[in-house]
Amino acid sequence: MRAHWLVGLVFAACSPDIAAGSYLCGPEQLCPEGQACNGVDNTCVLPTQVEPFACPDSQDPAGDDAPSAGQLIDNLTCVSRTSESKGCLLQNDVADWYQFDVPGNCTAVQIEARLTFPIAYEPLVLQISSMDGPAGPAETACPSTTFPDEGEAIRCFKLVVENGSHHAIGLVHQGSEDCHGACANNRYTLSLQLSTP
Amino acid sequence: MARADQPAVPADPTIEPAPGSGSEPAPPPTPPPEVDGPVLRAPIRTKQIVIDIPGERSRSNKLALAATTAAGVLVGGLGLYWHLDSRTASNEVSSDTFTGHAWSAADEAQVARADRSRTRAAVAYSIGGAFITAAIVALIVTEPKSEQSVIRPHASVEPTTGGAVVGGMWSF
Repeated sequence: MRAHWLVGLVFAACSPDIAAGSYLCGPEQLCPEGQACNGVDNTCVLPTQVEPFACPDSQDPAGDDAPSAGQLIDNLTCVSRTSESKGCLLQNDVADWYQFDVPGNCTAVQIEARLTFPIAYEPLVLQISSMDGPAGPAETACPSTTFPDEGEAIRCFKLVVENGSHHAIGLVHQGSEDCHGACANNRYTLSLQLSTP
Repeated sequence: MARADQPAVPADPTIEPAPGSGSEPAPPPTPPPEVDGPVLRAPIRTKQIVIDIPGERSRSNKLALAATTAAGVLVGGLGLYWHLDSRTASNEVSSDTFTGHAWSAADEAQVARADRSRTRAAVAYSIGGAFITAAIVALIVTEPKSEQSVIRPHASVEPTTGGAVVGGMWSF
């Protein structure tokens, strides 16, 4: 019995001891062995404690799948405050679009957008549509001073635009790293502001 | 073995009673013998000396034991290295509180490293322990037997003119 206890003491420290809730979920819901990703708060918990991914209806309005039908962000000035929009892009949702107008009296103006989302689910991609035209990829390097929070990814976009123009920023599925469809949804925060270039 | 020559002692003189005395005369005192040379008054007693001579291990036996022990220590040392490596890797990911850190492929690699080193440590400890056990058993089994040697001392006293020569011999 004593020898058994001694052997246990020697080898116990050689096996990782990770309590449930110690880690955030990694890419594609990666968690320590014996744990699973909780869909509510992106933490690794015991499989019996896992709750499915959920999103409040208020963060997933219907009918914003096209640039011209995107949710409106209004009252942006030439040098605006940061408009923050929280939402969810579910598996059966093609895209979430946000449209806005640039004031016509700016000396020079640029769009600054920043998208953050948990790495536990399918990554999201930014797109832009100008003057209700076709959507195109919208991603530029993030400032060196910008770092995502732990367990999150960040996408940035900056574009000099003309006064009085109309634009829409969209979020779409990346189409990969979605746990073979099991985590093809995500929560996000879109920060948008106009500034002087 | 002791030997001493003794000179012959002269015989007691015959005493005849005086005529007409009518009574038996008392015997005269015996004069001390006249000895010219040394006399051995106490016999030399020999005593056996028994000595235990421990057996010596052969060179090949010593080499074999040393090699087995060294192998055990070496493999056990490797086991200790892997044991510590396993603990290090394990401690890097172990936690009982919220870390605020996202689980990553690097963490998975640490867990795999901890498991791998743990297995290696167990195997090395087993093999090293077997070597050490074998060395101990061989040390006991191949212990050479000790021999007993008996020494028989011999003393001699040889009288010489004006003295004696005392000598000793040992046979074994």
